Amino acid sequence: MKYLFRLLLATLLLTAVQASAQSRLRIPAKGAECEKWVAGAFAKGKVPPFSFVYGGAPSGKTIANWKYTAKTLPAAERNVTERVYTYTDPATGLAVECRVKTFADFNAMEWVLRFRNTSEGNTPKIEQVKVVDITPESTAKGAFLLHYADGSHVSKADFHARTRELAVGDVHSMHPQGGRSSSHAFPFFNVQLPTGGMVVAIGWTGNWKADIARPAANAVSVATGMKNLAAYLLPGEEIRTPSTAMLLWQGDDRMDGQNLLRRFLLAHHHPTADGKPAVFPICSSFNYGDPAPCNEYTCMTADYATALVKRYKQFGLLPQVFWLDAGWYSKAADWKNGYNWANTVGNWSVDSVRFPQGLGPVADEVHRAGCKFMVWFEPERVMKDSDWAMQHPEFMLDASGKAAQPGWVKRGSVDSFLFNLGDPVARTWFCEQIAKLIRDNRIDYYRQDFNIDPEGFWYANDQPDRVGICEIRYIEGLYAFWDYLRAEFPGLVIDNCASGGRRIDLESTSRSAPLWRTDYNYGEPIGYQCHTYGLNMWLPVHGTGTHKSDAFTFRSSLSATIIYNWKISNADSSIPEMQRRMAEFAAVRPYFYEDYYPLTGYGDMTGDDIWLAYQLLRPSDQTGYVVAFRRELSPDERQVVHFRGLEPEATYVLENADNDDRVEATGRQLMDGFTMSIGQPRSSLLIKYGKK
Amino acid sequence: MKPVINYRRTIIALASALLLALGAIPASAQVRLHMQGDKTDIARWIDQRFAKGQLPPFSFILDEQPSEEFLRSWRWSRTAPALTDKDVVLRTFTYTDPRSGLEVVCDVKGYPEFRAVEWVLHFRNTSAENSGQLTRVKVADFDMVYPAAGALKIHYAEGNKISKADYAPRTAEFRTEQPLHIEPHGGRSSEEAFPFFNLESEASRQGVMVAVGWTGTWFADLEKRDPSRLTLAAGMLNTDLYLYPGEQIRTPSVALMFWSGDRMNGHNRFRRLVLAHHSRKVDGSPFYPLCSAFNYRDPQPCGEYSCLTADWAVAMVRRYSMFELTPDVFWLDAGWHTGAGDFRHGKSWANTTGNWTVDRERFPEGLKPVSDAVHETGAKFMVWFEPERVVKGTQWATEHKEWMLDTEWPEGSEQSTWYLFDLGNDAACDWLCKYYGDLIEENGIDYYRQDFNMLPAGYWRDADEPGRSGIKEIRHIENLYKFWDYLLDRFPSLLIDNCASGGKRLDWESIGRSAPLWRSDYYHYDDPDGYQCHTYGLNFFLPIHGTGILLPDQYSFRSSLSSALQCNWKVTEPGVSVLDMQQRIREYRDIREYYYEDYYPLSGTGDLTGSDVWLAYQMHRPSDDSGIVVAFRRQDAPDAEYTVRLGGLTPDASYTLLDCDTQAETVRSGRELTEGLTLRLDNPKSSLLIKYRKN
Repeated sequence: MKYLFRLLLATLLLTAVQASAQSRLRIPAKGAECEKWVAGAFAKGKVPPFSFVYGGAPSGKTIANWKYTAKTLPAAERNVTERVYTYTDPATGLAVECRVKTFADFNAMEWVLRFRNTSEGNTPKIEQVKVVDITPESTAKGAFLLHYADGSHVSKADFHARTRELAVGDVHSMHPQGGRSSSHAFPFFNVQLPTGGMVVAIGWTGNWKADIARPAANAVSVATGMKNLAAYLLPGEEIRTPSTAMLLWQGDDRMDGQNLLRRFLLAHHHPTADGKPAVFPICSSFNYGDPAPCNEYTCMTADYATALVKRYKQFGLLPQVFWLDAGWYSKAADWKNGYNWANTVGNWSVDSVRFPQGLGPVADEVHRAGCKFMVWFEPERVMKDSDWAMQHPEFMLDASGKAAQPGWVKRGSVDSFLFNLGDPVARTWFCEQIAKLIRDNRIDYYRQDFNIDPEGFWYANDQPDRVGICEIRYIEGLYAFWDYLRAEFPGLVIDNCASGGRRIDLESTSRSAPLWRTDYNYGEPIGYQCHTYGLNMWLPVHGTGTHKSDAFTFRSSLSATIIYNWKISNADSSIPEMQRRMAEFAAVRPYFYEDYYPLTGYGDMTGDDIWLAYQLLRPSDQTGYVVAFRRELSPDERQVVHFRGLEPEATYVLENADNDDRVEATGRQLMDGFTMSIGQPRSSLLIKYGKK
Repeated sequence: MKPVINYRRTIIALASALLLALGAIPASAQVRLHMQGDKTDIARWIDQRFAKGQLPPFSFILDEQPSEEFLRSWRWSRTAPALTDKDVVLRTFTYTDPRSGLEVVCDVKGYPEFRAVEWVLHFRNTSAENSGQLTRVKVADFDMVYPAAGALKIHYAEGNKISKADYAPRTAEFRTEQPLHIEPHGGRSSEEAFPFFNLESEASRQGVMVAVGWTGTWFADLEKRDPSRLTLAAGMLNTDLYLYPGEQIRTPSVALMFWSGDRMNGHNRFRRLVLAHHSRKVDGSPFYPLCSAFNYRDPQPCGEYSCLTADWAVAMVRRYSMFELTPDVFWLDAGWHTGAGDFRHGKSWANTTGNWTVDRERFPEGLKPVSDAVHETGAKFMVWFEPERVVKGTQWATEHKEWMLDTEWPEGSEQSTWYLFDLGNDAACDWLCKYYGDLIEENGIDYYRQDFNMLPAGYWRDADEPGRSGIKEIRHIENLYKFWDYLLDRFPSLLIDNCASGGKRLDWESIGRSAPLWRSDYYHYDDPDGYQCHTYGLNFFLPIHGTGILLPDQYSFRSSLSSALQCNWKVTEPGVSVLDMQQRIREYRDIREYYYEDYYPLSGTGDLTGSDVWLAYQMHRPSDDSGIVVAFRRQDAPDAEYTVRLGGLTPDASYTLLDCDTQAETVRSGRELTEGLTLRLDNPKSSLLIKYRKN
């Protein structure tokens, strides 16, 4: 059963139409109207805007007749109203609970489903669960477009903007590869109709799925859910589904929707630390990069780390956070026997040879410098010869050959288990272990990596006719673990990494941020420009590294957060230059939390012969920055860009950060076309602007 | 050490083959030495040459009268001190003017086994009046008469001018009435000239190795008189002075070593003479160490070690140890001293010399904690100093203004901010000895590295009293030796690394007390081909010298092979491999002893600085007939094969050759190897290391 949202011409009226019942609901684009639509769509006797197949029958045919309850929960979050709608099948005892949030400050809504077997027998099979099953509709003429992004596939084009025009009959299906939510696909997209659109964000850190189709000339259907779920439930058993958020926007500029999403995520899906919105930090490595056969931090020692912290301080290069990545644990340094950082995960004790007193002395030095200490973990992947695997084989999921593990994470034929986060006993032990490490080593921030695809482990461990249960339990356990850490350490910030940014979705961004958004060719600036350019369409908070302090390389890595991976131990580096870059970053950084406008289109941004430019705008005071790059093979010294979001009649002052150049222009002039000039290929421009 | 000087030279040193055409005219020597090569009986030679009534092989002018006119009339005496070394003949000959009381003492040392002799003069005014005016003191002044007439040649080396051609081997044939004059530039003994050379009479199949010992401005004048006669005069260039009552001065020393046969016989015996009798030994060993930097090179504007801290240094020492790269010596170069780290105010290692206290901000407890960490690894600790160049405004410049010598430099130039420490002042020297000695002791320093990045000649000249030209230089050099001897005596295990913007103070006197572990600042250009050239050239004369190695790849590493080595590779950067470094060190430790043996250049004495040549040499240990061949095919060398003729082998013996890279072994006779061994390198910019042994 489908609902249709009809996007009407000028007023952006959304009409939810029950395919069979043809019920219509008009929802103007502003504020509480979304809430009103939800109230109607989830009203008693209505087929709700989700669907599934139960015991072989579509829910739309029966659910309107199931036992129905609705309640509004006490307000837990400012500007948010949360309602719980429950549909219970009187025949089998299956209860479907839909928790719906609406927002006073955004024309947005989101919900998640829970299926609970209240009976004493197994339920019939639940499958084809569409957490969202709606059809935005518009009678206006114009293109029906799907704007989406590449997931991370370790390339220059990670998060690259894509657009597909949907013709009648087209179906566009998306799902990630391997069980990590943003691996090769990206769970955020924007459906644009002639008069507005709907941005959709899926929250599931596993295998989600989205089908966007154009079933009719005036409609686009959107369905989201898990890729693989076909299971019965045991007596008393409950499962949750992905969550999905939808934001409605008006007009013909997709960026209005994108910026709405960015602001929505900051307002309602941004983690807190110590009760305030978490500030994802400016980080510095411990002089990242060592001689072979060291890799990552397998050659780090307490002495060296401590000396490095003092050296950053000596050079006036202190970050907010010192970031200790992989390799600090037992056996990681034993390269003589073929071990490295990657094939020793599961040995979660600090290497006592290199850190005789644990990481505490390093943390203490970091704290003396006035900084925080973030440490890398990869707890889910457990090498089969590691301590955890030996101590608790009962907590391990074995893929039994059904999950391909890349060679670089193995040691010969030794590969890894997946820690069974879905097992509550295992998870409790897991939580305590990590918490103890954090506590004992005086770690402030927690960086979690995840370098294998989990789906093979999940599917190998599903019971017959319960496909998807292992994944569901796992993902539930992952959230429980992260929530445990956040409760246990109120000031803690989680950096979410999975071979780069491969677990980015609505649920994970609510608890974490990807500070290392891609494993693409470390330090290659062109790719990094592309990643900022693409990911900024969706997420305000993400980060990457910068390996050099020259203006071009550094600015290529500009984002809301950064890790300075430049070297402070060789003559190619310049301390004053690094200091200048840090000051520049501090100045520009707040604008990454504001509105974003790509200025060089949505075409292929990966070439070496183009310009790439984008604009950051703080609407509240009409100030911002333009960042532009002329690439190595670009023949053009000049590039015309059209500013966005300015006040046409206002006068703006533009200042070049690299010299004293200063110009004034009206908002209209800037929006009509502003010509930038870069004389040298492989150079950059950083322009600060503000309303006079 | 990187030179801090950068100016347009006003004097061009006269140190190349071009000098054959230049017109410094040596006075005609009155002493003739009949050259006997290997047949020279040194003890006899000494007693004959310095015998009573004989004109000795030195000369001077006193009050415009040549010594040859009066020296035989002076009172003569001879003493033979008790022998402390059975292989050394010691004599002191004293010539005293009965009229003026001026005394010339000639201390002579002979090394019969090496057919070598050296001497030095001391002038002492024993009267109560000023002495007469001493000029043109030639510590060596004689004609060499060879038994056969024919080509007379000089085999010499370029001095140090911070280039690929530093120490490049040169050969020139003398032409009658085209005298050759050699002197270094600026007051440092091997800057642009080199005080070691080999004179050869091809027709006589013999020659003499000559070495001048003076760490200032020496000179050598050579002139062919006829096809069998060559005049040699050598001494200090600028001597025109009188002596106060009771005053004494010393002169440069001169060493001669007579040889027969092939010229390399002379070079190799000279190398052995240096090792046996003219090098610093600790516990009887002349070996200088394998060193390692403290992860040399830091971000700008740090220079040298101006950003080093105690914590960082200790962490680096432990890192080398963790990587199993612990050297014999950890070498702390410039920048540890007070003020050097203040880059925010434009300070650097170079403009703070004179602040000879440990920077307490970076080393709160001095260098001792670093030294302790070094010693924990079993290594020694060497630290850089530059006592003679005192920057104006520093501690020494303000606290001991009375010991600062100044001279005129262009206004605003870097040089104009420097004093020369008046080492020639005895009180200053004594103070320095104690001050540095205590600094060394308090900081747990094992080895002492002395740098000298300035040209002292102008300071000396300007400080000379009227009528006493040269006295400041003499006093400075005398006390330089006194200072070094003090350190060597106070610290019996101490080694001195002699640096002066690289190897610019190499001479017979300095090498007896020290070794140049940083033989050229050309290193800063990081050109392995240059280092090959330096090894190739300097090995002709000196067995002990070292350089740095920046990258651990095989080609770079082998290019720096020498008797001493400083590993300057990074242990904190990606792109290099600890395993490579370990392998290189193993290779070095395996072959380093050969650099203290005989040397055979295998690529001639032509221009070896090009990128299209091969360069190869051999080190040979006669005692067991084993050795190594090191060869390089440079980047643009077109040929994959290169034929060399090995030296020093026994023709009828059989040798096994091991290619250290492929581990391939071949067996050849000594004759075959002497007649031609074809080396093969398929890739440009690659190297070959062959070990051989007699079967």
